[in-house]
Amino acid sequence: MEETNSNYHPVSQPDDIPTREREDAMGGYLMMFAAMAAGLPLPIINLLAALIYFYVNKAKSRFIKFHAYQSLISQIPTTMLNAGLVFWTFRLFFYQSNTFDDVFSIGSEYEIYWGYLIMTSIANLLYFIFSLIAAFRARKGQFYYFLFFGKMAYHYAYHINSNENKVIVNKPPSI
Amino acid sequence: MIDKIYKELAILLIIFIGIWVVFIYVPIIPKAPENALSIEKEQQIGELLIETYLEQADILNDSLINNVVDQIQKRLISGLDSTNYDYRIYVVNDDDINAFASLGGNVVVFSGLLKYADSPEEVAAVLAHEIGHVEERHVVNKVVKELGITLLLSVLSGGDPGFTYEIIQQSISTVFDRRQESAADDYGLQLLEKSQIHPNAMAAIFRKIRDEYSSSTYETLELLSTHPNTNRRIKKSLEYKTDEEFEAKPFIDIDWDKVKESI
Ligand SMILES: [Zn+2]
Repeated sequence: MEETNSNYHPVSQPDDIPTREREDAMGGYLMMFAAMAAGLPLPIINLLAALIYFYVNKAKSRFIKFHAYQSLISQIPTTMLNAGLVFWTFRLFFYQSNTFDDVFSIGSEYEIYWGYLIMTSIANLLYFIFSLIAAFRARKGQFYYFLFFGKMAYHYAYHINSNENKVIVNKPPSI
Repeated sequence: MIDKIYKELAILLIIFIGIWVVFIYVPIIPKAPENALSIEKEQQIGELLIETYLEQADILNDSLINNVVDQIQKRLISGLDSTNYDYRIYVVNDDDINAFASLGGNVVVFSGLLKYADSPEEVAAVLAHEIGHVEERHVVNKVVKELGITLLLSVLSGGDPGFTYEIIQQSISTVFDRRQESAADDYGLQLLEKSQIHPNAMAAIFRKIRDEYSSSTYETLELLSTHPNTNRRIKKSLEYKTDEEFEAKPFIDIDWDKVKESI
């Protein structure tokens, strides 16, 4: 089935978005930084904080819902990468065994670890930069779409669920 | 639209897995700590360390043994294309089947190793591995990482002898990491080939050590510090492909049975 723009609620323009709403939308991003800093040793903490922020604010408006959701889902992979890094670092630290060596032929566990460390650092850096841009845009009452997460958040916040406001009365005849 | 977002997800995944794979092959590892110590300085410190060590060690001074070790050493040195190190090999009375390399090309072999080896080639294999650690500067890497360059250099300014002893202990007791062990094995295998000693000798001695120290004590032994992979190391040695023109040259002047009796 072809989806058209009519399946989505219209997006509001900056002039229609009150300051209060902009600030809550921006808060979604900034709040992650605070939570991330606090949750560094245990990355699960910032995920919990993000979830709470999202549930508290999502009903306020679609604009806030979009930004809060984009911020929430875009930090899930980063958090998972960070959790993996913490776990792996501890493992390497306490347990020098190199079982990976036998499993993969691409490199020793140290090499695979270093690649992972760098990838995770890049992911965090990108997350940080894009979140700052998005926070800034939200404050101005604008949208900012991340790759993938942006469309997902838009779909989530603006998609019109057909059961939501259409009651099916007419049906084709049964053959 | 909802179908297209999976395309973007795929793009993201490909980018990040790509970054990961690229950095496995192009490792940005912090500047090698061993570069902080020049080879000249390493030799100087190495001399002080080995002196301190030998003062308390039970050196085995037997002309036959010395002669044998000398022959093995000469053969291995002839296989080195070039080296900045002035190798010294010392034999110490100790029943452990072990050997270790200290700073500056000083290598200590325990008499237990000589007693246990079935041929001079097997001893040569262990020494080739240790020379690998020296040439690849693993010993310096390890000591600098653990003690720091400042402390290490303080030995030269005639610091406290207790501390000097501490350093030598460090260089014996702590293990190399797996990558270093593996590199020393590779180096050793090539060195053996270039020295006209069959690289399979390494498999033979590793296998014996593994069977001898089947459980608890192996962790403290330099030669078996990477225990779970010992089988793999043995396999690597057995699978080592020598050049087609390779021809092993036996140590004809060494009567190994006589050597073993004299220990
Ligand atoms: Zn070694």
